[in-house]
Amino acid sequence: MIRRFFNAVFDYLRTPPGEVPRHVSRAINDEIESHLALSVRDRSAQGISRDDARRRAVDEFGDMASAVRGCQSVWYADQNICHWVHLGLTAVLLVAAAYWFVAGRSKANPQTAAATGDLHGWVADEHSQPIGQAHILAVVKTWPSNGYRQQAYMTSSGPDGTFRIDNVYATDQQYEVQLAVVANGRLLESKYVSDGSGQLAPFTFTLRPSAPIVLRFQAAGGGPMAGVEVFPHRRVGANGRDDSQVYFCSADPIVQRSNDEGLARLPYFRDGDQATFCYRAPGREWETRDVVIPPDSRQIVLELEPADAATRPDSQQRGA
Amino acid sequence: MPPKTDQAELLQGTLDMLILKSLAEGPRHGYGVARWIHTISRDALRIEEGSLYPALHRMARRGWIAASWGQSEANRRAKFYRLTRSGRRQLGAKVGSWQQLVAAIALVLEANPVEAVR
Repeated sequence: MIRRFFNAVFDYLRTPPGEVPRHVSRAINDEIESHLALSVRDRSAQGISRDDARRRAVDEFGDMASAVRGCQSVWYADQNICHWVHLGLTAVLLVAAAYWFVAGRSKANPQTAAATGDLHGWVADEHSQPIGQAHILAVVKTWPSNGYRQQAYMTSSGPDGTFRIDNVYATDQQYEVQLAVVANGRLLESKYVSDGSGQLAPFTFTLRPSAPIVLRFQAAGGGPMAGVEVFPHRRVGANGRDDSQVYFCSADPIVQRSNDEGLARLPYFRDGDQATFCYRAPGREWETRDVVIPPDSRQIVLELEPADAATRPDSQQRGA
Repeated sequence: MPPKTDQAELLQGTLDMLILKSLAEGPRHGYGVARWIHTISRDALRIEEGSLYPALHRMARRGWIAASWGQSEANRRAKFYRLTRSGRRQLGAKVGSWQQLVAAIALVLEANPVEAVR
């Protein structure tokens, strides 16, 4: 039985659809020819000529093609079983592959699969007046399937000062959020939510006025350097307690370039703040520079050394 | 020997039973099965040989008979069939059913028409 099963599977695998294996056809023909030979022998023994005996044997046998088809149909019955098993296994394989593909994409992108958490809030000044057009820079950290994922989002506050970023974290899973707000003429502010769970409450940012700080990039020889990219990376207040950051991965919307005079406006700090700038001269890597904003100073000169090494800011720092 | 015109027409489903019975005494090839049935029935039963081989292959697939190649009396390669244990059980079951059928038919044929009305 087992041997017959394997023979059937082997025949199914090596035989093109709709054809009968040669060994099966040959066996059926041999069996029928053997029958006819015996019939001819018996008739010849009765004195009938060989040709006549052959003719009578064939007539007596009947429809030979039908007999061959009948025998082949028995073989096809085994092949049909193999065929249906083959189809079933293929269907199972396709379903498993589809499930693996969908499940894999869901695991790789849990935020689109199950995320329902939103970031929303309000930006206002010290008089509770809404601030529109403020850059809202968000970085969401999640841990899908024991891995780590960091995703940056950005939007702007509306005329009423409100902002919203939908569907960025799963409320039933671990997440952390860093949110920075950068508005023209206002101090850089950020907030960090660690051990987040459920839907976050609305953020409220109160942005105080800043000083109109301008950076001037110049080469070692004193000439201005144009085209230097720069953005505010960190602000620590003079009191040492205010500590706001912009993550590198979310800074793209607020990067500025120095003009032909080497000037770039970064009005996000005030006197006494410790400011960290990220900058990149043309053809060079990103670097950072820490500066304490001197009192009543409106222009800060950053002289770029000819062979400064590249220092990429740590974009995975946690907020204080 | 009954005349050929009076040869009994094989009832449907009896071919398998006759083939199994022909193999009960030992292995035979297809021609031998046909000859045995024809001879034992005193020429009353003649199997259409074109139906014989599909029936043999079908019963081999069901496991009632087993096939192996050998040498025929005509010195040719021939397939011999033998009864399996499963085939013997099938033969017993089919003979029992046949006997019940024959007995029932006999009762009908022997009955007084009046007795049939209850």
